[in-house]
Amino acid sequence: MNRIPVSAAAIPLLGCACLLLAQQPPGPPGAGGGPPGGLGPIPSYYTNRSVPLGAVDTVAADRACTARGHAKLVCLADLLKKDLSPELLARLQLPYSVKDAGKWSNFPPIVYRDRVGVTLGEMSPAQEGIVKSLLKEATGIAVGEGYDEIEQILNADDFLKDTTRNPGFASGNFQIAFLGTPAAKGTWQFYFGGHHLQFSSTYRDGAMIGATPSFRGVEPFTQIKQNGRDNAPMAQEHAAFATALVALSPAEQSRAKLSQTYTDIIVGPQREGTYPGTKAGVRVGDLSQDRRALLLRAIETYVGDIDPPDAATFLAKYRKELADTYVSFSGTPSLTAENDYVRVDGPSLWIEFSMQPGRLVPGIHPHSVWRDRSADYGGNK
Amino acid sequence: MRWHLGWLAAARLGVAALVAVMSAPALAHPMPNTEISISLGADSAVFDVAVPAPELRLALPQPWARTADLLAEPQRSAVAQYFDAHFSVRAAGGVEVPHVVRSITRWEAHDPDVGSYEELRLRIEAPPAPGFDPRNFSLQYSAVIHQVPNHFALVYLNRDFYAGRIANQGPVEFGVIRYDFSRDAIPAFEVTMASGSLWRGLWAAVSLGFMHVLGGLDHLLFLASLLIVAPLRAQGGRGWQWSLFQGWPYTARRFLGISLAFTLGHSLSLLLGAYELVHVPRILVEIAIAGSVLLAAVHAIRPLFAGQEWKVAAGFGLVHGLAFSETLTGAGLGHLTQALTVLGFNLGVEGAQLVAMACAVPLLYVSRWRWFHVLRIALMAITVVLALIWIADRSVPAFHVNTRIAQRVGQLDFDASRFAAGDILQMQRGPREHLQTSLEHAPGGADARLVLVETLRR
Repeated sequence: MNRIPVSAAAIPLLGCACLLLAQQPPGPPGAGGGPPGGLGPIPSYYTNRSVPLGAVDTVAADRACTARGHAKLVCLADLLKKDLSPELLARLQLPYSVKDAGKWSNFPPIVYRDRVGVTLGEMSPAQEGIVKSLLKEATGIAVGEGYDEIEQILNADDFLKDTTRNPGFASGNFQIAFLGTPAAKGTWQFYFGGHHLQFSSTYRDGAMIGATPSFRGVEPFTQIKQNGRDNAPMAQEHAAFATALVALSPAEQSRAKLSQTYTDIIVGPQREGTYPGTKAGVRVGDLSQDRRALLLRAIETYVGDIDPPDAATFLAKYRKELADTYVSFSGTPSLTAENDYVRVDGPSLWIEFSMQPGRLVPGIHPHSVWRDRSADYGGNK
Repeated sequence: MRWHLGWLAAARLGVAALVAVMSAPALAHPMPNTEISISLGADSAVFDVAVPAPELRLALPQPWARTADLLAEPQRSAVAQYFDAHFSVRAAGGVEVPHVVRSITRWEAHDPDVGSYEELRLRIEAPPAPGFDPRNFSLQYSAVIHQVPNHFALVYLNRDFYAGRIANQGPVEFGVIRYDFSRDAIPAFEVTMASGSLWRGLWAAVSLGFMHVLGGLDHLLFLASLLIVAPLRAQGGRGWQWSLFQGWPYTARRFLGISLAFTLGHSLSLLLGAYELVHVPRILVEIAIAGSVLLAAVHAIRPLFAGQEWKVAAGFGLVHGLAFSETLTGAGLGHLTQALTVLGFNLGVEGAQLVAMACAVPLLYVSRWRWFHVLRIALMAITVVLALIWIADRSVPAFHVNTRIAQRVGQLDFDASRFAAGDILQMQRGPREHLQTSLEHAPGGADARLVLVETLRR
């Protein structure tokens, strides 16, 4: 009776082994990393460095490339490409692709991670100079528009960096890329963007074929001092639209007023072609000459963000289509309250301006987009 | 080993919730959008809707919408009516099936890009109805979006009984409900699931119950501590010592009696708990379980309630059953689904218990040897130490839970480094705290648990 039947004990022992195995921990949480497609840690090419464009010197770049217009863009692009390390060059010069061109956002890189290109923070002062010269040649020259507006939007991110202590906001985190090879022949796009900014000018055989989508936003909306200057990059767009809306007669205002509420723009990033089926609001052709002119002035604050000759071409097109363009708004016409919104919807032209609650600092802040139904991404699909 | 300080509690209490957060869909957009989690039962569906109140306030037609407390009457009823009107479920033939707004609660949500904001969570149920197939229907949801057309709702699949997703395994991304500007309308969201089967749901419940017990060392040690004295009899002066093997009839009677009593106890409370007829705060249940292990282990060293083991097994079985039932609560998927889940889960629990009992059999064999006393006391001493660790570990959060309850929804004010994030998540009672983005923004190599803790404390 004292002998243990070993075989009888074997089965329970086997069960116990299984039981012990079941006690293995399921792995510490987080060991598996984020979900596929998740953001993960911010890539190292976001250096979180401030690069105040105002202080960047373009003398060397301008001396090396003395041509004007598209020829200068090609010259500067070649200069930059020659100076970059192979690793950076591989990220700067990409094949032309509408898919990559669509990778822009109103969000900072902390949140939106799909942007392509090399960041300003990765570049040497000489390379920064070339980029600044490129921007100046490709954009408008008016104060508060074009290049000057871009410089202020970058400064605003340095302001957010200082105010929120979140280093992910930084002027050095804005990105530049060439989609397609800048050359006298062929298609390419000058891609420059980051938080609250997208610049996408497309060229074919040396001529601009698209200046959009062009996104601008800024937080805070109030004028701020940063990087040695006053910054209020969206003030002119706002003032022009508010003036145009306030000038409408009460009857026109009530026709222009949308019943729905807009807390953001609707044809935003990654929302290609989501235009309304029918145009809402008041037809610009039905407005008086003065009121039409005020609206055109507002449109100029967007079209004026590209180089003057190309801006003139686009403006002529929009002027020709102006009578069949509609303007509508939601909220108040002064565009100073949260969720105030204005839209310009023409045969080609599309502009949205949305005044939103402050996200990072108290107050309000605008998001705005200029699109062209036929010329976004140069009309390429 | 899992019984590492804090891990048993953290793992069993919180891993499900944590995993839910970790695997939150990449689709998630750092904007205050709506999120709809759909759970599909055998004959019903549940919709857990999380709506950012600031956007809802823009859409409610009433003059008080911008500022009033949305959960005070009469606003609460108006909010319920609003969702009732902007929510409909249509069966495959196009016939609308009934739905009911079951609950509305308020939460504070946090988003790194938006900051803190008020969030309402609604549970809307589509109960069993003639012609309603929860695997093939269309959802017409227009709340907020009809008035704020840039707003959108991300849709997730949470549970799907027929596909074997029976517990909170974490929602998977399902789709999005958006305003279609080209048609000036909000398209219906079509739910068409691949055919599943009742057996897959039942089998998932069995596996869940089985693994729940086998993975829970505390349940096993409690039972083992009671069964180790089944062959023995209290003896000596005032019955303060254990005898050796008392023969097979005596052993078998006690062994089966204790096991059966434990089964009856935990089955009863599992049933009561799963149907939410009884609710005991989870943390108290966990402490009581650790206490039950301690009591049983001490008894196995020195007899405390010799001959009464079955009563202890039954009594604490009730407590262990409550812990089992935690996994099964909150689905709201109707009686059929719940009954099948509870049935399968309990079968799994019994299966695991049989395995545990089989493991105790070798101990019965060796209980006639003289050195069995040494073995028994050594094993039980280890168990006592473990039980004490569990009690201490589980009591720390319990203290804080009280302050948490007092605050209802708000900031957590405890020393977060003291216990695992799983516990904290558990206290938050719900995985949807926008933690995913915080994790993503964390520096590389950061401890995920600490990031969660930081986010919760913010």
